[in-house]
Amino acid sequence: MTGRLVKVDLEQILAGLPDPRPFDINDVSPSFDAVIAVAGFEERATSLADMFASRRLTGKHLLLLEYPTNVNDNQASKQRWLACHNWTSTRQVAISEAIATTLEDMLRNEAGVPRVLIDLSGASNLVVVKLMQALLELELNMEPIFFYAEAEVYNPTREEVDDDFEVVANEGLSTGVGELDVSVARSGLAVDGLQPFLIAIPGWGRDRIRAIASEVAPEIVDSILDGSASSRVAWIVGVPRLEENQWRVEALMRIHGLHDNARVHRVETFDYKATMLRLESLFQEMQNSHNLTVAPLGSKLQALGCAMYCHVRPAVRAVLATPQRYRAEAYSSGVGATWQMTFPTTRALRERMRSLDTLDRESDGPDASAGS
Amino acid sequence: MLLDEDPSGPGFVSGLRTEIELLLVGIRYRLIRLCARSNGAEVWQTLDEFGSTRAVKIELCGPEALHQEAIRDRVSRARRLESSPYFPTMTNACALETPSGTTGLASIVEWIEGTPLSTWLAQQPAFGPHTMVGLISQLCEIVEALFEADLEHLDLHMGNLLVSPTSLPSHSEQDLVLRVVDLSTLADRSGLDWTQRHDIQGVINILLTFHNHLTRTRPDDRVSLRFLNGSEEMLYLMTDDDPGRALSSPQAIRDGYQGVLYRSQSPSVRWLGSPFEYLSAEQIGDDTQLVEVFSEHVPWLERLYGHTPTLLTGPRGCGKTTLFRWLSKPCQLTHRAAPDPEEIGFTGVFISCRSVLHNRLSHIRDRERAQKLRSHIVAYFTLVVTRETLNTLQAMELGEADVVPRAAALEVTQWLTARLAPNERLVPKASPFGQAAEMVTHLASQVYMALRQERDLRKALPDVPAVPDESFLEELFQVTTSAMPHFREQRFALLIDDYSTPLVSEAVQAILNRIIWSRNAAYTVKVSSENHGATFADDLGAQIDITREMRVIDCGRDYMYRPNHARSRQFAEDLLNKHLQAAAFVADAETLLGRSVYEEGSIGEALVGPRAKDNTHYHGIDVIAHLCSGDIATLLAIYSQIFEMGDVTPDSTERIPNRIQHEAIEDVSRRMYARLQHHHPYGPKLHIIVREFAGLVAKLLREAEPHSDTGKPRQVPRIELDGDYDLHEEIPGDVSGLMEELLRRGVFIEMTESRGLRTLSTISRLALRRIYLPAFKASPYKNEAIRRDIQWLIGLLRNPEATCREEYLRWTKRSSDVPLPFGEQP
Repeated sequence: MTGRLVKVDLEQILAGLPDPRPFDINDVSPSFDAVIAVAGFEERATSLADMFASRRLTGKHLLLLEYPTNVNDNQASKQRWLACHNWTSTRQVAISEAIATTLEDMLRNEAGVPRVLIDLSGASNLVVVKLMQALLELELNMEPIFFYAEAEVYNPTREEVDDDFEVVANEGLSTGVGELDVSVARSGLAVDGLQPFLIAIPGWGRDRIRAIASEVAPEIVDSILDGSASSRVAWIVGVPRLEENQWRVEALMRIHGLHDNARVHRVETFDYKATMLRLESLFQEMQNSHNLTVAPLGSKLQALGCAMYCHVRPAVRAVLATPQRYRAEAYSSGVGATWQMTFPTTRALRERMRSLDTLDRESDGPDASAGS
Repeated sequence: MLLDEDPSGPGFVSGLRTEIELLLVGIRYRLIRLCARSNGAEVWQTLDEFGSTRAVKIELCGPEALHQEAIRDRVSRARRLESSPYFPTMTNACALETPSGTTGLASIVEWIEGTPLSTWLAQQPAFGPHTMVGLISQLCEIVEALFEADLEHLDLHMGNLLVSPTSLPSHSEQDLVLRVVDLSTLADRSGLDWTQRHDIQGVINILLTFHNHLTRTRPDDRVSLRFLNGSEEMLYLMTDDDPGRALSSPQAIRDGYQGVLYRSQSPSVRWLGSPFEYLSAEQIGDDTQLVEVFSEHVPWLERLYGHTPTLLTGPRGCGKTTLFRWLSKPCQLTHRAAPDPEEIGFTGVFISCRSVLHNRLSHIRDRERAQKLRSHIVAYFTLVVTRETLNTLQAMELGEADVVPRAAALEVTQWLTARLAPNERLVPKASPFGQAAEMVTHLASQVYMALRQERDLRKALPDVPAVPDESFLEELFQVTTSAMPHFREQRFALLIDDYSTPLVSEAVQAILNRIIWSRNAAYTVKVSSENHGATFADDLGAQIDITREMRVIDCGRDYMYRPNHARSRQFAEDLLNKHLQAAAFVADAETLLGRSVYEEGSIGEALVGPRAKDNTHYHGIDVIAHLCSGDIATLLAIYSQIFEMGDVTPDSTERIPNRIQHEAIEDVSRRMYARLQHHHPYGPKLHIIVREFAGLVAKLLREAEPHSDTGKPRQVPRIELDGDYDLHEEIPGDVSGLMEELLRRGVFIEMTESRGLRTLSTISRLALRRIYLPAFKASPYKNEAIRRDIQWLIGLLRNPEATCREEYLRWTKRSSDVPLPFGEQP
């Protein structure tokens, strides 16, 4: 066996993974072995439940995740999910609890590879990260299908930002910093001798991203506060999918004090692969000189990309900060477009990811040298 | 194809069966087991009539291939390799007719016990760079032996190599040696043109498999990651399209990989582009560079020498990590002018809690949960300490080979293997310490994964194989000291850096304290932590009497302690000089910054004097040194900002104007103050307390009556309570966390010596961290204190605005209707 060496890169890994496409109820096989939903307070958190209620979709088991905050705000969605369908079994689990083992337990007796429909519409980024981790690490083989409903109106609105910028900037969609979780999903490397570097994916509100920056390297906070350049932070600012929401990019930049001298990468909020590829290019640039931490406080799909990325690059640490309280009244309203992504089975996905960075002879198939 | 069982079914090409006897060259061989078959060939394990086990390879071929000359050549080629330990002996070869009537050629070879390399590798999750380089060295020696015998094997691959427990000459019987099991393809090298020479390609394909195997294990240590980068470069070099450029000699491949391993462990020095490129030792990757910029005038250095267990406390940025890394043996080995080891008095093993514990165990916060995970926590900590000890010994193996002879290294690693992984064997041609460290790293990863899955997936905690218990480290150091008497005098000291909450929770500390603070003769412990970050109770409730059992050094208090002022200034100057030298600047600290001289007498008087608005007061080495409260990173931040604002270049020799120094210092001060807002937890509250208290200090400087004796303005950056209070008992629950955070972050420095108290939780005299004062145009010096009782302090925590306003009124109006609780009138 001879031939030039080629390296399996992230782009190749991602090439076989799905992009979001419009959810078409006629285009999916309508029965699922399990449904994972999150009892959030936004209207879109129950849009999928409506499809079960109208019997267009069927499922056996429901795993309903519940937040510890805003318990009253979430009641309606919880009831809707439990009552929408004649479930064979239902489990209600707090997001801090045993999501993965409950899922494993639910599906233990299912024959074949269970189809699991996962509704991200009401999920916080912490839930997205935890769910992705469970899928990637459980030995149980599943076929995950993600569902995502956009909001009809995303808050804050342009008027709110124009009229009361400081309130939006300081409070965002949530208040305060609750827990700073430094070891969500992947704890990364913290090697002595490497400089800290933060990849900040900000959302609305300043507190949480600054608390994380302060934990990673306090001098990043200096640069945020005085608008100076920092060699310790790169920002991935989400670009909304819809043209009418493009103003939000500049609003985010203003909220976080990002001037021309800041290192800013604009990445589509909807494109989890683009987030992963941006993380990869930063990793390739800095892996030998920096300990990298990513703070995925942006969109849900960006959080999904970060969770997958930290799985393939365990040297990168993910840090999340939960708010003290979500401002339910400030959140988005209505139900917009709906989307789906059908992933390969989790076993195939894991295998695919494990091949990252392996070398092949050009003339041979993937990793053909093994066991020659 | 490899077969584990006897395949006696139809379709078996030779028609041979177990128990059949073959007569080969006059000797009977009973077939025991079919070991392998492929492409019309079979390999059988046999027993000859003398009771010796032999491998017999049978290749089916036509009579035309069985002439005597070919058979003689085959035996003769194999015998040219008899002196190499990597090749078995071919006793004979002959023509054969099988029961099914087919003809073939039988080669009779020494039987070798072992596992095919491909199978062995698949069972090696602990496979790491040292093991890989050891195997590569053997592979290269195999090819060298072939070339020296003018032979090509022509079919060198993972299936033709067995990993066999074999004694190499001058090696222990523990060694895992590669043995080439198929000698039937040997050909004379001189009879082949270069396109027919395949052995190097065979080696490269095996290396590619090694590389991909290591890549797929997703190692999470920096040496392995660096090694993989280097290995990738090597593979590209070996597979270059141009055969003239491609790396193809076994010696070059072996040397190349050994170089990659060496560089992975000791990355090359990158000279500082700027003197302040790194503001923290955590960010300096190279030990040589750390030694270059380290100031040996650090006031508490010598108090860390010797065998006494020591606790070094101070806030983030006070240089704890720098100091502990500098004291570690690998760092000392890079030091051209290192102090006499006898002066230091120990062999330092650096253990960074930030690196090895924070990300791994910080989620275990409650005691009940910690108890449940107790054995895993102990195992994980013990394993990472063991790994760092092995890494230290491996650095000594390279730098002080006479202290760490190979026989002793094998003794220690054999003990370790027997204790932790009895089925593991080491590979020769690689560092025993390096390989043992890889084994221990893998075990630590297993324990960590178990803990993580228990947390994240709520899986039942699996048993950990061969869990090291609390006594393990003592045994390890006893064995090591017994094998290498050098360590009797240079006893091991564990330099446990940043053993602080929240990096290591109180619950986890309670478990580990029984190991860390245990008294034993085999090793000593030096611990650094943030103030109030280390706890001293173990999980059985026993409390360590810290003042009896260890030396306590508080960086902040030591630095700010008055008799140390001259030494502090010398340190601040030396620190800058070291950074300037490392970055090849021509001028020194005194030339660029000058001394701090005031016409008014002192900075306090200058700040309220007629030229108060000149903004030229914070300048010179003396004031800069005094702005430090043991937070060395602050000194570097000040220097860095002054140099940037002063446009200082490597050739600069002019003194930086006072105005620029002043503005740079104020700038740093404002930034440090502003940062507080975003600390977690309590950030906004820390910010308000500093705003109110530093504001009070600034107002009293200008508005309080000057001191009656000296006429000097009041400089009061300190709170003195009317007694010693225990933080945990006297500060109520609603603000005790805030008080701890003020101390942990070094916002206030506790100035009281512990005076025989059992814990470090005494509060009595609290000095505001000096760097916050320039932002308020206050003096960092102290000639007075706010002397109040504990209730006043509680008031400051609960309502800083009202408390400081009231205090301001007391000092400025001297109102008699506000009673003073104790002490002298302000």
